[in-house]
Parts: sequence; structure tokens; C-alpha cells
Amino acid sequence: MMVTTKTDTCPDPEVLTGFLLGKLSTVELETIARHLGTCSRCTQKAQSLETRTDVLVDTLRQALVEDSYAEELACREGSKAVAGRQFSMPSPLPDVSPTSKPLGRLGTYELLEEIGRGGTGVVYRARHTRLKTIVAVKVLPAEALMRPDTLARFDREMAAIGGLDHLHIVRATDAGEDDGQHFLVMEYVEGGDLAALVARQGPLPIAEATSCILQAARGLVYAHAQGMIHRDVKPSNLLLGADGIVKVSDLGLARVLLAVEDDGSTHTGSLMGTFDYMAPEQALNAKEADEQADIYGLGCTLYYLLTGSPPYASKSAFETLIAHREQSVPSARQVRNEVPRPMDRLLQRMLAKAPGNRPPSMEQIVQELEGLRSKGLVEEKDDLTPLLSDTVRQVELKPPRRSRSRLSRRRPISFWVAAIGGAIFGTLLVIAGFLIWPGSDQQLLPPSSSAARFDVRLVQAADGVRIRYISEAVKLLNGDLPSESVTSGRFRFLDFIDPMSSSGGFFDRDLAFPGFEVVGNIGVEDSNHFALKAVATVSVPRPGVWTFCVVSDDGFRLSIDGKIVGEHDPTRTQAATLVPIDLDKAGPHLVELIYFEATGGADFELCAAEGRYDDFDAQAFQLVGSSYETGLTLERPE
Amino acid sequence: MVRAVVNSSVENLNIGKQGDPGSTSGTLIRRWQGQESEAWERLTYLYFPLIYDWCRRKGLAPEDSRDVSQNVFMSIAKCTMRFQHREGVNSFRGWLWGVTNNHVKYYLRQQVGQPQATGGSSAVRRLADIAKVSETIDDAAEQADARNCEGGVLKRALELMRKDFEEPTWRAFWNTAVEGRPAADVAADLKISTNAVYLAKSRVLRRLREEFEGLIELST
Repeated sequence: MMVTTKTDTCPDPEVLTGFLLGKLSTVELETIARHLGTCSRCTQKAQSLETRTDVLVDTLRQALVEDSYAEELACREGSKAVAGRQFSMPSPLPDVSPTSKPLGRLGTYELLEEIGRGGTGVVYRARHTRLKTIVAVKVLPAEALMRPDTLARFDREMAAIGGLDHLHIVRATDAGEDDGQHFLVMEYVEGGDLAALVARQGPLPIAEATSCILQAARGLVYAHAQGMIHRDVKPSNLLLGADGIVKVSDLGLARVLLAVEDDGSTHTGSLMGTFDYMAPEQALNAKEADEQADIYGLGCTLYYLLTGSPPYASKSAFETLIAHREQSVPSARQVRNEVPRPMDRLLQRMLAKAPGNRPPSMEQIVQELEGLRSKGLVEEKDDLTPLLSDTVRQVELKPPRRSRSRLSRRRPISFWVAAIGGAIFGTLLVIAGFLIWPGSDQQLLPPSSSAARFDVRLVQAADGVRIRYISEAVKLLNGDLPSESVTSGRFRFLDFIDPMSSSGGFFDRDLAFPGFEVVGNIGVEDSNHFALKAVATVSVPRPGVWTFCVVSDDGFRLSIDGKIVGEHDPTRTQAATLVPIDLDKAGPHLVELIYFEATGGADFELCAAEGRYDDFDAQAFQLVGSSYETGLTLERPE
Repeated sequence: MVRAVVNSSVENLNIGKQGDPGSTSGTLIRRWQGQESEAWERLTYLYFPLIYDWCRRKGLAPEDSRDVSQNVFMSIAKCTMRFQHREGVNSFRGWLWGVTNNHVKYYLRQQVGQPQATGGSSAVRRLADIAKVSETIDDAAEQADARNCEGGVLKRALELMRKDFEEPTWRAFWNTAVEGRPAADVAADLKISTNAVYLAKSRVLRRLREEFEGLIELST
């Protein structure tokens, strides 16, 4: 007699329905099934209930239809690539830490000391037992070469590398296998790599940095001409010898190792060590990497040499990966004002997201760098030996003195108020109306403006509804209305974001209460510039630190001067921001106003936009003492 | 002992081999948020074609659709915890839809020019393009909502799940739950008892529910 306790009691119809629809626990399902086997009354009841359905069953019956494009090759490829890449691991890169070989012999080489290690293996200084020459032996991570096909690839690549002979490329002299350990023998470069050099003594002087990159570029021009793509150009792969000559190392290795990664047997990037220098197209699909990927990697390296950190340094590898794809290209001049503008521009082109926007070839990089020198913009300095002695002067990073964004942050409010007064024709009253907000959401018509014939409503919107306003306004400016009817329009956004929240804190103007007054203003102007145009005062009846920024509806963040800043965050959809926040406990919250103003033109027809708020928004508006309303209305002025 | 009795009562439906709760405990979305790579692969398999489909419907070319869909997955991977299901309020599909929407716009914005704000009449045109695109997207959103677009997801889920069940169990489930045939008929076909058919059906449904709780609206 076993678990029969409930078998004999007849279940309620509800339970029985739950059974039929799979809504019970496994044990319950089994118990009831067993009961049905012994109880004809319940079996009958079940038969009468079995036609009942629920959402799941209805869906199963109605709509098991394959998505129309699911069979397309691009779909299957993409799905496979994403599934295999394990992007769900934003943690730091796993530590591959190849195991050191106890010093001893490896083939015909006697290992003398470990001189470096990385994702691609451990490097030893070694001596050929017969020839007594000193070489560098790199022992590859075991996992890289477990499979026969990667082994074959390894042999092919090594044969190709062995054929390379160039002043600026570390020569490979041998490759072999001993006791299951695969190794590559290279010329020994006494000196160090550029990553270690910069880590030790900081950013390099402009002339020296240029020389390093130029030499590496020459080596890569040669490699590319031989059909070899490096795929892993980064500071630690550029070696500076005691003779002051820069050589590119690890050519071809990336390809062997990436092939392993494509098998899905390791995490992306684990063997490559870092995403800091990896071209966006390469991160997604290693096979797509071509000459352009090397140009990108060299650009990132140049940035590193000039500033002391990689272009998109961030805490997690994943963030870096995304930043390479989406963040705006950094400028080395922003960090170091002595970088000549043309050089900064070249650097930014090398870092272009789309390969097509980068300089077309490595040869071009060489020419442009040489051009910088011949024009006298960069000092010609090919003796780099002083770098090794660490006697080079410390480089001090100084951002440019007059950057617009810094300027705007530092200006007192009164400056902007004055500026607006002069700058915006016929809109002072509008601003005044704005100033006394909250509470003034009625029409704000400038009475005595001949040119500005417009009607303005203050619009407050919450995250997720902004696009409606923007698209309405753009429509207004460009499409549905006769184009001559509007000569200009401006959007004004206010967006208060809790600096502690996941979405805020990127604009570093901290506005403390009381005295919090500034509201930046950003707009679609007549020229469709995004530009700072005005300020207004809003009193926020709640203490706390507020951060100002603009977040566009589709996840772009705009700084006060209209630049897209930070990462594009496409997940900022309305659903995403519904994450509840306890308004009583937390400080400031996301509150936002959108202010639209249009000038000029003849006849506006009504152009209304509907907005929606949920309870959270409503509470947030109340919190800052504002009423909240939706709608953008433009009416024909009388 | 218990198991033996249960088995005998449901005849040759092999319960012991059904499902593999060891590696897949908890709902798919929880496992995904817990960053289990198995869940990531599964979620990708289930939802990638849907997102790809949305992109294609918006008129993106296959390669563009692939890229955008990949971007969507990269984004959602980064903030798995940002999605919080609230019954009747939002859905995973809705969230994905929003993310996809934004990505498409972002992509098109990049296509029409630099993402950074620029001036001039070309910018006017660009903004107009974006506006047009967003309208198309809004239309497509309504269409997407109108039709039940989780059919493909469920179809793929069933494909994945099928191997976890014995053939008779699967057939019993399919014939009753999907095809809507009376259990008694199916039982006769399969030469098993009616209650075994019921049990087979309810087991698979249970697995589906367990897997998709919080992902697909399973109850009204």
C-alpha cells in the first residue's frame, strides 16, 4: 500500500480541470491520473471537462505558425551566432591563465624564464639547445588546439607566418609540438611591449606615440600585402626592442584561436583577452575581420598610447563591447589638448564604427602619419630607445581649455538667461511662461511678435511617450504641413533623473536644492540643430541632488549642447521603465517636461498628440509639485 | 516503489524519462536572468526568429535584420534584470518589441547619417525619414499586436521540448491539446487508457507553463 491517501477521494471539478490543463504539480498530476484509473465517475467527469481550454491551449490550437522569415539564412545565421556567443555573461572575462610549463626542455629548446603570459599563451625566453640562439617560445593554451581541424589550421597559419620577413614584424622561426604542447618559436625581442611601457610611465609623448604606430603600421602594410590579417592589434602585441624598433607580434595567432572560439568551446574573447581593442564588426563575427579590423585595433592602440587608457574603458567586458558599437567615438584631444587636430581626426576615422568609414588601407595610415610629420605637426622621432630607459618626461594630460560642454556647465545661470534674451527672437514671453512653471500650461502667445506667429503649449511627457511628440513635431516641420507654414520649431526637454537610478547620472551637472534652477534646453531648431538655446527656472520642492540630461524616447542621451552622450540604451522602452520605485523612500525621480515651440509660417492646423502616463509618472509629477498633463497642441493663431 | 505503481497505472508512458528538471529548474526567464547559458541559448532559439521577423516586416533587408536582431540580443543580455513581468501590465514580448523598435530606429538613424546631431537641410530630410520610419513602426506595432505573434515561439518551444518526451506521450499530447481530439479516441488509437492520455497531455502542458511563465501570457 503506497501513496494512496488521496487516490480514493474524488477531486473537485476545478482540480480536475487543472489536471486536464496541466496546471497542477507533477505529484498531483500522477495522483489524479491514478485515481482516474480506478474511478469511472471521475473519468466521465473528465471527459465532459476535457473540452475546456485556456489561453495556452487556445494559442496552441490557433497559432502554431512559424514566423514568416524564420527560414531565411540570415535569420538562422544570426540566431546561431547570438546563441553561441553567450552574451549573457557580462562578468569580467574568464581567467584563462594558461598553465606554466615547468622550466625545462620543449623540443629542441631549453626554457630559461617566463617572460609573459596572456590569453594566447605563456611566453618563455628560451635557448636553442644546439644553435645556442636565444628565442622566445610561446606555448599555446592546450584548449586551443585540442581539435584536429584547429591543429591543421595552426600548421597552416604557422607556415604562413614563417614566410613573413619584415623589420617591423616579429619573425617566427619554428613551430612544433612536444608532449602534447604546441608552441611557436619567435625571434626574441629584448625590451618590452607597449602596454607595459605605458602602464609604467604613462602616456607617450606625441612624437614617440606616432613613431610607434607608424612602425607598426608599416609592418602591418607588409602583412596585409601577404594576405595576413592580424586580428588582435593591441598595445601588448607591439614590442619595442632595445634597438628602439617596434615590431608587431602574434600575427596569425588570433585566427587560430578565434577558430576555436567559433566552435563555441570557449567564451568569446576569453582567448583574445580583451575587447578593448577589438573592432565592432569583429566582435560579432570574427570571420568578418579584415584589414579594417587591424586599422581599428591600431587606432585604439594609438588612443591608448596618447591617453593611457583604451578608448572605451569600462568595468565589464560586455559594456566595452557595446561601447565599441554604439558609443560616440572619443577624441584624444578631449583628454589631451596637445594632440594636433589633424591627428585626432585621423584617429577618429580609424575608430569609425563602420569599416567603410575608416581609412581604406593600412598604407593610407602610413601616408597620413607621415604627412603629419612632413607638415611639422608632429616631430619626427624614430629613435625610441630613450623610452626604454624610462627617462622620458612625464606627459601631463590636459583637456582643452575651451570645450563647449565644459563651458556650458560652468556658466552661471544668469549668463544663459541673458543669452536667451538676446538670442531668441520673440520668445521671451514664452520663456517667462516657462519660468513660472509649474502651473502655466495654458497658451503662451507672444503678443507683439510679427514674425513669430505661433501657439505654444507646455508639454510634459514621461519616458516612452516622447517619440510621439518628436515625430509630431518633425511631421509638423517637414511633412504633413505645408513646408512654408513653419520656419522653425524648438523642443525643450527637461529631464530630471535620479543619479542613483540605472538610467541617470551621466550628465555631471549636479544641481543641489535649494537653488536648483537651471533647466537646460535643447531643441530642434529651424536648421535642426540640436542646440542649447535657453534656460528656465523650475522650482523643485524637494531636496536632493538632481541631474540634468535629455533622454530621447528611443534611448539616446543628449548632453546639454546636443551631443549624443553615453551609451545608446535601446532598452529604455516604456515597459522597461515600469520598474516600480518607492517614491516615498527614494529621492528624486525621473520627471520630464517637453516643451515645444514653433515659430513662423502661416497656418497651423491642429496638430495634437496624445500622451499616456501611468501611475508611476503621475506620482513622480506630483512629487515635484507639478500637475501633469499630456498633449501637444498647435493651433492656428488668430 | 511509488514510481513503479505510477508507471503501471499509466501503462507504457514512461514517466521517468520525461523532462529533465535537473538542468532546467525554474522558469526560462528566471534561468535567463540568472545568466544560465543554457537559458540564453534557448531564449535565443525561441525569440530570435520573432525579432528577425519584425525587422523584416519593417522592410529591413535580411542582413540588416540579422544585425539589428543581434543588437537586440546584445542589449537585452546586458540588462536581463530590467525586465520585470507584471501580469496583465506588460509582457516580455512587449518589451522585446520596444527594444527592437528602438534598435531599428537607431539602425536607420545610422544608415541615414551620423547619429550625432547635425545641421543643414540634409538633417531636415533625415529627421523626416526618421519620422516616417517611426510611423511605419507604429503601424507595424499594431499589426504585431493584432496577430498572435507568439505562435512561432511556441512552435519552436514544442520542437525543443519534444525530445524530452516519449513518442506516445507526445502523440497523446499533440492529438488532444493541439488537435483538440477527444481523449478517448486518441486512447483507442494509441492503445492506451484514457487517463494515460490525460496524463500525457497535462504533463506536456505543465512543462510548457513552467517554462514560459512570465514570458508568454498563459492565463487571462
